[in-house]
Amino acid sequence: MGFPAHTDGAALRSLMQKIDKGEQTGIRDQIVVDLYRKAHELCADTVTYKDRKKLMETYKLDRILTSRVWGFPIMLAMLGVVFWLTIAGANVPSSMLAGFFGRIEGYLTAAFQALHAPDWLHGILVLGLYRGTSWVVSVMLPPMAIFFPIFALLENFGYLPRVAFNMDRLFKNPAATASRH
Amino acid sequence: MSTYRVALIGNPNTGKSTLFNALTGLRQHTGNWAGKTVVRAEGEYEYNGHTYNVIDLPGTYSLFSNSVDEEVARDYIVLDRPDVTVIVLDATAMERNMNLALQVLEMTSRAVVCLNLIDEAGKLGIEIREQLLAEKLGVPVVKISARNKQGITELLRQIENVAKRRIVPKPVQVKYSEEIERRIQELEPEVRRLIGDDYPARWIALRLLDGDDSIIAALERRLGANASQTKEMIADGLSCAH
Amino acid sequence: MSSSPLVSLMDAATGQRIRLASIQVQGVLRRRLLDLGFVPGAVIEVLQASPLGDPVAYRVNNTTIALRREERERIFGEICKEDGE
Repeated sequence: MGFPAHTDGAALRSLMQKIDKGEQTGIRDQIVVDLYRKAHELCADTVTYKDRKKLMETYKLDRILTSRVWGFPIMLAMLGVVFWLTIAGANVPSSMLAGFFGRIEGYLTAAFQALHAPDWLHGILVLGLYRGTSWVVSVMLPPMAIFFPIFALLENFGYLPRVAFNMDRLFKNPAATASRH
Repeated sequence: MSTYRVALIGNPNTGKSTLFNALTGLRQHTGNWAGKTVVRAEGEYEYNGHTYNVIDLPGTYSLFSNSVDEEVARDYIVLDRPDVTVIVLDATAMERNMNLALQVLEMTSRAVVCLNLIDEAGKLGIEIREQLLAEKLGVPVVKISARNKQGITELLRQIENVAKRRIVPKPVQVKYSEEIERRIQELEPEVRRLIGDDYPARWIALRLLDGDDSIIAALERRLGANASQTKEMIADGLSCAH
Repeated sequence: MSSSPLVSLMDAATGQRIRLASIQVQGVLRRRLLDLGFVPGAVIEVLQASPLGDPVAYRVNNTTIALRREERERIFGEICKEDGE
């Protein structure tokens, strides 16, 4: 294991310095071109496309999703549906959760009374801590449990890159041409 | 019983992580590459009584050190030299993926090519003759669908073959333009003399030619960690160089 | 095959196929483009422009890649005549 004793990075470096800097870009280009030529040659020999039409079908869908006419309406409609599903869909589970937590709160209060706990303790723990937490959970959890999976689904279908393609210009302009990525 | 190191490499979105999960299941942990903000996912599986440590390298389009991801992947294959490198290709975009495969095969001969998303490719009417491809590439080629756990057994078998050196692949080398080949021939013996046979001399000669000094820096870092004596030599060399 | 004059990608219309001749982008982006298959000699197809006109999608190696104006201006090639294929 390890390097041979005579390994020497500096020697490599000086080897490299013998090569002209300007030439290196050209060499890199040629290397990539040759790599691709070989890759194409290999694929031409071993890969057959039986059905060119099928391959083009995904492009057909892209053409609609990012078209001048339909690109933005579809995007807004999708966003609308996602929000509607999130808000409307969350209502029912939200109120169910709220009801469920409310019932537990009843039991908790009864338990505190049975134990003759002081009022301030009941106030802090049940009316404050418990009620606050359960309210947040019942309001926040259902929308999150709906919104994020839907978004993950859109991402899976590859719709989000199309959105980025549609909107790229809107987000690019303020930053002018200065930076990329 | 021995332990082998297996690296997964491929373009982004080739289902490399799906394969990683299929191989290692819950036996995995993630962290970061030392000093880098690149996620390092590691896991392990057992096959025929041997343990295989799998490392999921960052997904990259090439290995020319254009980004930290590419450097991490490249350094691992060239310097850490895993026992087997599994090159995961997206069977639906072969040309682009093949480009990376050819680059990896310049760095290591201990590789298995794995054509993922083969079910998807079938649906699109793409047919790949993997036997012929294996002959042309000089390494084992396995068709899989990581998502449907298809072909995994065959992949495990081929990984074992390469790990145990039952198969010693002789990967195809890209032939560059005459000019570049001539210069490689000049450089390669010199490089081999300097770094020994443990590292891919032809590939390093190519990097010298295209001016990629990050690989030399990486070699030096590794060197410094390995032998403090040579470290001084490098320091001398560096001050000379500037 | 007659060699037609070089045009930048800005002058290519949707649906046209272009044989790339030179890439005048520099730095990391240049290497990225090369890695994606924008290499001299490659034939790429103009798929379509974004609704706002700016990024334009191209097909390279069976993959869709979108390029912004700054990149398109600096990539040159010749338009392939429609023949069979």
